Amino acid sequence: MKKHVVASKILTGALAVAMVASVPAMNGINAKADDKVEISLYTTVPGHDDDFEKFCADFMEANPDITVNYIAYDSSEKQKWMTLYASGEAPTVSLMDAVDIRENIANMAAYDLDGDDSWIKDQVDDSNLAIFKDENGSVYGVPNSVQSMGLIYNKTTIEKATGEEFDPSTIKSNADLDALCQKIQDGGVSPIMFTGVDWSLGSHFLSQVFNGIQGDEEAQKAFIDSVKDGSAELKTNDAWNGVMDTFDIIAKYNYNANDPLVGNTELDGQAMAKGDVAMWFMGDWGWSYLESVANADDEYGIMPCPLTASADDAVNQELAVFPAKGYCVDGSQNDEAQQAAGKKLVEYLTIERAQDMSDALSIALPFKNVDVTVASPLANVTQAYVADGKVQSTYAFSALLPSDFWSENGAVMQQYLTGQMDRDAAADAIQAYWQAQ
Amino acid sequence: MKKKKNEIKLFCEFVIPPMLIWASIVVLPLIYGIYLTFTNWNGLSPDFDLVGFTNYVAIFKDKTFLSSLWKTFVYVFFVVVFSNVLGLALALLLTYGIKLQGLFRTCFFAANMIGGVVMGYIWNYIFSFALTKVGAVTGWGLFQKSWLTSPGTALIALIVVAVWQLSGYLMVIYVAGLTNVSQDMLEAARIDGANGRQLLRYIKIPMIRSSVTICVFMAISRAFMSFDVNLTLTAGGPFKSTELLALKIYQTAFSNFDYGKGQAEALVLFVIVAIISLVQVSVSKKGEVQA
Amino acid sequence: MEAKKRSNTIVVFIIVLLLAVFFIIPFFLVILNSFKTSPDFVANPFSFPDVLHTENYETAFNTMNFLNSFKNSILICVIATGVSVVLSSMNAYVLTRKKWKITKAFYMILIAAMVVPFQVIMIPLVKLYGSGLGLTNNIWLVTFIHIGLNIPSPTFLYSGFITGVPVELDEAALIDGASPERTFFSIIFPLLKPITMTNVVFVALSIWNDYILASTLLSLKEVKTLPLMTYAFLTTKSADYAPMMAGLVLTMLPVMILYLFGQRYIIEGIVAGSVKG
Repeated sequence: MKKHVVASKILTGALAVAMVASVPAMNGINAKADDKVEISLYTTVPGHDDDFEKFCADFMEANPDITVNYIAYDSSEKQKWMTLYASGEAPTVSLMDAVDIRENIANMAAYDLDGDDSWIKDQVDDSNLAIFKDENGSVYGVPNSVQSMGLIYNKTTIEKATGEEFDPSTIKSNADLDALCQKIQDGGVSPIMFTGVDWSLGSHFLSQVFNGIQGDEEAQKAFIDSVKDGSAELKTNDAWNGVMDTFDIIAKYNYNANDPLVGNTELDGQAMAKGDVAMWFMGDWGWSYLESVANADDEYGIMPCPLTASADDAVNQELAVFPAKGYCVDGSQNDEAQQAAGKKLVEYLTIERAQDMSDALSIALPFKNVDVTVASPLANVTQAYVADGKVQSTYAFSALLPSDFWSENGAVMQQYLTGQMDRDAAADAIQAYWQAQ
Repeated sequence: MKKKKNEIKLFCEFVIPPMLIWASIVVLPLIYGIYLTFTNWNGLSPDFDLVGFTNYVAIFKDKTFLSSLWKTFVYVFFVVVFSNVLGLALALLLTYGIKLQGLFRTCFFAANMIGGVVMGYIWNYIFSFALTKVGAVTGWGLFQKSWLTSPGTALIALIVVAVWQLSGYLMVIYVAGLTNVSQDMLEAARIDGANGRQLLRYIKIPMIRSSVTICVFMAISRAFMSFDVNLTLTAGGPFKSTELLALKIYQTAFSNFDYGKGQAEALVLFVIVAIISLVQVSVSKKGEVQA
Repeated sequence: MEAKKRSNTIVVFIIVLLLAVFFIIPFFLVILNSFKTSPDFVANPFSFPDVLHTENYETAFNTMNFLNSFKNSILICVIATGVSVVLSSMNAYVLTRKKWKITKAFYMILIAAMVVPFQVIMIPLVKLYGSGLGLTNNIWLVTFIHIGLNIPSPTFLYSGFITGVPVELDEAALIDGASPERTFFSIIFPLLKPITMTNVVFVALSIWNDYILASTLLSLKEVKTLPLMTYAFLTTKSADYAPMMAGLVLTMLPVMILYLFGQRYIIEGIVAGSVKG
């Protein structure tokens, strides 16, 4: 007779039970047996969950006292990181952009370069660690790769169009680039393209104004400070105008000129593989778009994007190489045993599995004492430039640009590309961005 | 005395559990969330400071916030108008008594069966690949460029997709309202010589005023909260021209590590929507025919 | 007169048919292209596949870890929908029948809460329950939160419906000596069936399609729901359009089936009274 009341009580009761019952179940997962350390790895590399899971499994096999929970890639990278922290599940090891690590530096554990982590000093050149340091010089990140940005070229396409042998070292100024584009166009092939997305235009292309063209790290810092306080005017700055002249050249011959903001790297990769277009402002990671579609006989490479009119400016021949994403270790929600295990995992992923990592991610590596053959032809070129020392500083790009730089100024560059803003207006907008920082 | 005791018991059994669960999930975090708007927390750091109304002041000085707010108003206006007009039109057509009515209703409602994220993706393919293909084959200028690459058409694309989904939802409610319109009354009016237009104007529309109230309320709140489709269809682009408020909030809080400010923006959005829907509901309630 | 009505019906039918085509063409394209190869899709989204490439479904099925994520989604969806709908009906019953100050106030607060943007409560929610109680990667927590989030709108719809149920029914049962609880469950609740079905479909759809809540609380693969896996699949396989289409179809399928079962009730339920609210 009281059946229904009972039913309603059971229902509400069941909820409470479910909540309570689930607590021990959870603890079961989290519980640390005395001799076992449980850690977690979070990466922001899309499309490689399987590879990382495999690495973790191998690591656990080699270190039976450590369990690694791999946190799958999530497209909302930073939000995911924040919620992990907010929920008390801060990953022991995270693979993040340098600028994100800096935002979270209060939670991070520094590497002990003079102690257990001295391998980092032996393996990683100081120039590749600079962006992961705080003011006191403590290191909070280990880069997992070096990448380059510049002009990808399809040598075969260029030579077919111009009828001449192509040597990238002959492109010493933006005038040379213009001439080359003209020659390719006369040969009936579209010379070059932009992928009109904000990260490529706003972060990669625009960062060239603040990078090596300004000089070393200190000079880059000083330039940005002067833009911020207004003592330098971007509009009349030589670096800005040189870089934008190059921009205009690429825009003039742009394969995507009909609809410049489509911004589909896959379609652009296919166009390049088909031989419809000869050069592409992108980076050596562009191989991942080309790899599956590229003609096996075609020869690909990447070269520096010339930034000034003078053939004497060394920067025109220096590739913009930067340490991409770094492994950082959490010190706020992970105890010392976990931190130590995490650092061990970092060494394992970077050094011990260097070759596998390079193969899996098609990347060049920043480690001095590992012998790795890089499969990606573009990453190979990057490595060659590094070996020759023909690289420009990208300190500003990695360490000085705020985390919303690419989206805010990417919007400006897109408007410039579509002709909705002239060069001075773009300069003013970017300067205004800096002054609001 | 016993009755009162019984009523309290009933209240405790029937109202307290759902309200308690709801409050623990919505009210408690909301209060904590309001507190966070007065801080400079970056979303990660273990410590943060109270900064008073700094975030709110910053919002109203922020030109990008104000322009996003303006765009959101434009978007909401068109979505609310078109989805209601189309929803009502569909409902009228689908209560006309044609064959396969049920099947058609299912077709129009279908868009509501999939999540916004997935829907944004589907339409992204359609605008980027299918329609440009149509443009290339037919030579129609309208479709030769992707709609997602210039500011005006990208906003239109967002509105089209929102209307496409919402009108099917509203149609269901309008169909319900129309079916409620008494057949006797329609018959009587018809015998008095009223034509189709007059039936609509003087009988159907007044009788479904309450459906209009509900539908406009739903359209307003849904349109203001648009996030998923915005993210996967245009991601705010090109050059932030379609960054509606909900997406803007997300960017501020999570991409720019400015959690306190993002939270404050979200609260401003909440207050705006609450005021607008309150005004709308009370105004249109006044105009409703007492049924 | 009859002939005119008939020709009108035909015109209406044709208009509706054309509109319907416009409304379902996106689904048609997704299904069509899920059987093609990616290059075929890019070349011409409207062409028919030469061979049925069912391997797309295999790829999608495996990459999305379909069975496991399906199980998680179903579990969360069924339990949360059931509990929230029943609790809402009880809530609405008392809030509508008893004209006290507190019931009126509760009702108004619930309506106002329907427009709270989820972002406002997201991080606090995670901080309170995830960090405070250590309940991350717990599908029961997600279920519980869904129940809480889905109290206001079903209560709102029920309330309109219950107003239309004659109070005399309650009074008669009470005079017969039934307790108010029993009156509700054995007399009133069965009468609410149409609106219950409507609420079940609406609530289940919103929970099934939820992305943002699940993404904030579930990070381990074993506990992820179908939308999470679909989205991961969509964003990581950026070049492979055809399997993506297959993934989309797989995600939509269960919902379509649910809707086909419930659709009769949706309209019926709303017709029967909720609109009067």
